[in-house]
Amino acid sequence: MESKVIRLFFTEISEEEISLVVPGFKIIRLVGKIAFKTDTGWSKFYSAIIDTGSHLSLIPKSIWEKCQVKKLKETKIRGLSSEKDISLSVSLGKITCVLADPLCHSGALEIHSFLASDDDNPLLIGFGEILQRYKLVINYQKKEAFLEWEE
Amino acid sequence: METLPIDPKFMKEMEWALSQQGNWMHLYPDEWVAVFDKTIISHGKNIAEVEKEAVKKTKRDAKEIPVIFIECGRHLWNLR
Repeated sequence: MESKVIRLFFTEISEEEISLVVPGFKIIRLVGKIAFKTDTGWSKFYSAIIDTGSHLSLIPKSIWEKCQVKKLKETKIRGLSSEKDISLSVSLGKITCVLADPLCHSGALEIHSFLASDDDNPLLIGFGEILQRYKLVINYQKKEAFLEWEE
Repeated sequence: METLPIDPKFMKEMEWALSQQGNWMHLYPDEWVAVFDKTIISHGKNIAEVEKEAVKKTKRDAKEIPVIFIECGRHLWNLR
């Protein structure tokens, strides 16, 4: 068995409003790189926020539209707001992706994902069917994060 | 599995662009930006249009041009 690793990285953005009461506050995101299967090969890589709070991944329309997808169901997703009119229309679909860093890739992963109806949201890598397959290691103090698995 | 387009230059450019988000969040909040040679080539709400404009301006293949999302800093993405 060989241990394989895909490096993730952190992005940091200053946040002005919270910084007024919490000096130096930053928005920190954990980011990975992901590409999707198309009719002719693979899309280019896009950065994606690693979001352990999302039960499935979310893919903006312009990205999934160029890829091989099988739509299964139209639905709506909501988050913090419980109001039904504050929701995002999506399709639940099947798509094949690959995670990578400059040195290693995951191989093709067939996943279910939410396919957004526009590009208003960033690409999110959710827990379901991606993160649940790997050991996710996050050590912000050392600026180190990676997905690990054995082959 | 087909050859993956893991181009180190592309990956580096993408990481550089992501490191610049803080500088761009007030200029292009919640927009997608296309970056080439450490320069913003195009930006907008629609990825396909941003890519199309970037290809037109750089005369490069879209696969050579990273496109990233610039957060405005207001979202809890998982708690929409």
